[in-house]
Amino acid sequence: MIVRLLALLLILAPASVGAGSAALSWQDLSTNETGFIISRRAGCGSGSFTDIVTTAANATSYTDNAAPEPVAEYQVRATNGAGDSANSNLSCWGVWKHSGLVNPANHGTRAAPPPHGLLP
Amino acid sequence: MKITIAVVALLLLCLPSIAPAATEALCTTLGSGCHCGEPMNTATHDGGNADWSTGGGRLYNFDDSPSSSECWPALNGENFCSSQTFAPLVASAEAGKLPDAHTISTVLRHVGVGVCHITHPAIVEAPNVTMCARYYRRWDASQENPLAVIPPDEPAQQKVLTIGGAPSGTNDFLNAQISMGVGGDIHTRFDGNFFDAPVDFQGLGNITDCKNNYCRFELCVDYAANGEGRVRMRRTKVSPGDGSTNTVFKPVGNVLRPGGMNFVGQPNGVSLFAQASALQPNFIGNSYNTTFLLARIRPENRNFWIGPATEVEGGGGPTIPAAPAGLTAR
Repeated sequence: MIVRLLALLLILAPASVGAGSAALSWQDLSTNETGFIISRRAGCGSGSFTDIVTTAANATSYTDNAAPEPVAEYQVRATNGAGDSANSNLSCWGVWKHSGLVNPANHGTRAAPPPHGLLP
Repeated sequence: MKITIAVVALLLLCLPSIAPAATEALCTTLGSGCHCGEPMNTATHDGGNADWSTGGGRLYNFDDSPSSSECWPALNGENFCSSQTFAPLVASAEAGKLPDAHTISTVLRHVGVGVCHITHPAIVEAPNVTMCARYYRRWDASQENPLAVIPPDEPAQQKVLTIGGAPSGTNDFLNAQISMGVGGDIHTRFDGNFFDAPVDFQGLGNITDCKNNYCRFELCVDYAANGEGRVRMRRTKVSPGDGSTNTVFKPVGNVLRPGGMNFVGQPNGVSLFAQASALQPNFIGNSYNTTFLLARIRPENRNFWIGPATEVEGGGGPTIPAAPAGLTAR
């Protein structure tokens, strides 16, 4: 019983055990922004976003070298002295994109694929 | 040392935020909703014509007004200004009377008797529209208020801001106007038989508020889809004033005009005007003005005001940028 509980805890435990590199790109649809604010959350589909960086004006890409593995979700908004634009679409990043695993955001309620070789 | 740094940091935090320098872009923002605007925000505002005192020099050239369409001088040979005592001043000459954040380059000074008009030549509008004009004006502290009554019993006045006109070949005129009269009282009126609006003179205060202090004057005509006409007028004290605003709402007219208005400038001075003017009969002293804008929006919106010109009042900054799209994370 104890072993089963430990196994369950392992499955439900936060899966963020490392940092990856997420290459972001977007379309700049404004002409008067002073920069873009990129925000991120661990996991895809739920959780709170945190602003991680403000780029220069006219930027259309950014690499997040602290992407929380195994998955993270991003959004970006333009900003200037008048305020912030609405957020862009969401984009989910995950190690599955490099490992051949299935995007968990598109399949059921599981928060993330198991890291480090654990099988589902 | 740490205490010094902390004190400096605290002082920096306490400093008032400096409004971003901004150019007035309302005409650009409104697109076709902007009839015309005169930002007076360029060193070459006179189109290279340095002669402001006579003849064609009085014909103000708006071609190089940025971020706006071109306003017109008045018709009937009056050109922009009939006064011989009218001159542009660099805005720095008005230091202390304009907000620190202003970016205008030019203020127009009007001395003594004369008339100057900034106009739009045609108002052709179907119902269900709101039209607004905005204008800045101040008077010298030594300004002598109108005292006399001009025969036959018409009080001396200075026109300040007007939206009005008459359809060609008719007397169905519209006159929505802010003016300053005897004692410096700022009058408002909404008359003419176009809407057959009841005239009243609920005021916008006294020009005492606008001495050595620019006031923003705004006037809106709300032309409802069913042909009703209403008028709103507003005066706001600009720095170094206290920002207070007086607003009056005029009653709806008694005549419906669902067929639209077609106030096209006519020869011989038959009226057309969305006008910022400075008529000064029996008047001694200086007044100053800057920045004129005439805008329209559809559908009618009785809550719409043009609001502050960022180039004059600062602080407006740019508009909120558009949201990015197409985000991908790889």
